[in-house]
Amino acid sequence: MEDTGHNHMDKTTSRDEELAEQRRLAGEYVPAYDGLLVSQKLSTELIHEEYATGDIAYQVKTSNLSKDFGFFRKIRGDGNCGFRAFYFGLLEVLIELGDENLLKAQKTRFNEVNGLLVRSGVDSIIWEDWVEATNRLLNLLISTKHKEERLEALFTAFNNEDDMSDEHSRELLTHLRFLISYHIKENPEQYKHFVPDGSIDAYCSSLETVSAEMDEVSLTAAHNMLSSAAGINIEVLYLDRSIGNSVTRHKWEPEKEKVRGVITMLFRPGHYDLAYPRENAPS
Amino acid sequence: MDYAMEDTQNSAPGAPTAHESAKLSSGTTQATAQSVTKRLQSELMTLMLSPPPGISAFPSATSLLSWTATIAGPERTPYENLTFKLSLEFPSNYPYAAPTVLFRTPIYHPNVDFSGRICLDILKDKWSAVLNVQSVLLSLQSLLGEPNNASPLNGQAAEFWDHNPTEFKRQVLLRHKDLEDDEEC
Repeated sequence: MEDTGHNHMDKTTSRDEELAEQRRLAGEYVPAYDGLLVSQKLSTELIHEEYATGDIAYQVKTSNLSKDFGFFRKIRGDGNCGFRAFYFGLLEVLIELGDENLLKAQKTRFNEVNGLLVRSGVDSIIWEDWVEATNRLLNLLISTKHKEERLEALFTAFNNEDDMSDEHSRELLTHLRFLISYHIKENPEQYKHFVPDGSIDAYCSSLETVSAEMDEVSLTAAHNMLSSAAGINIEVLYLDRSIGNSVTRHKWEPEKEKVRGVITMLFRPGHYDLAYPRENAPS
Repeated sequence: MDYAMEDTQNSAPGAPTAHESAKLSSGTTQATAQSVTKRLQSELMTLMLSPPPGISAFPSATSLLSWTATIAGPERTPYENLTFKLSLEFPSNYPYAAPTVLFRTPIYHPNVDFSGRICLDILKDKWSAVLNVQSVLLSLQSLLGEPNNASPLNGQAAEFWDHNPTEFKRQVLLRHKDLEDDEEC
């Protein structure tokens, strides 16, 4: 098979076809990012420096942020950042806890909620790759024996968006996106008061488009489905121009289990990164 | 044709399952992502085994990423008894990005321009990874009977659709021209 897609354009090619080809290429164009999809841990001083010449409210808040949260991971802002931060953060916290059984339990939990895909009526050829991507990643993490190697495998899987690769981060994120949407559709009573006009259908059909951002409703759904039962808290740090000298902190508590760990997400309007508290920082 | 469908396209009763055809293809598609190949072959198999009424689609002889489709004009619309050929070009990250779809048959329609370009939200910012060839073609078929006249590419067509159905129908027939086989993409 030709890799360029040009070879079939022989002398019968009309101007229309050339234009179509140009449009197709333009549609595929993705701006070059220097960064990774999920970066290594970076000092939060960098966030403070970003605002050095900016708004005073941000200068004060980012200065205080770095006192409590020493590191952050930059998450690529391509419309998937919230899903990427949550999914990476969840598995990272489970790995850091150092108990293989937690990873096994998480795999079981994913396979339970995969029933949502089956019940959705959508043909399995559409979603089986997503399920497989998640299972493959969890199997890899479970079979890897040391924490550092597990973290490395997770980092590699989430930074891999090569079309030829097996660990396909797009499949992982699309899996999460549709689990969330179908979970909300199956539990309308729980979510209808939080979506615009109370319309679950409109909310979910928008959530299912390829670059729809995560919001608090979809984050709540992700937590209810995947992290709450694992005993994982989610905390979001809101860095915005609201009144105050520090970021606004909001927690999603686990429902029953004791708290084992916390995913900390740093939210700036339209974007999620991951943040990491300094040891002994107030929680 | 260097993908696995060649031997199976005329043998629907004993045709391999989607899984089998995906397996057959492995190792023959170095340049195209495995996932897009697998997905398109599965879609092709489904379309062949249970074709929806008034719709057909098949890859070109040279690339699995380049398809030709046919849709029949819906009954009780100005497009009744007409058929339309379209081209679908799939990006290498399909289904995480929409295919580029063009009408090859000249068509007079409020949301299609004179080059065959289509204005339909699901082919742009409303694309979703659960959409597929079949759902795109069905959406286009219903677009024929229910144009979105709020944002027309062809303003005159929108105007005639709303206010002068007779003239609209006349323009549709005037513009329509069946493609010869060798004009197919």
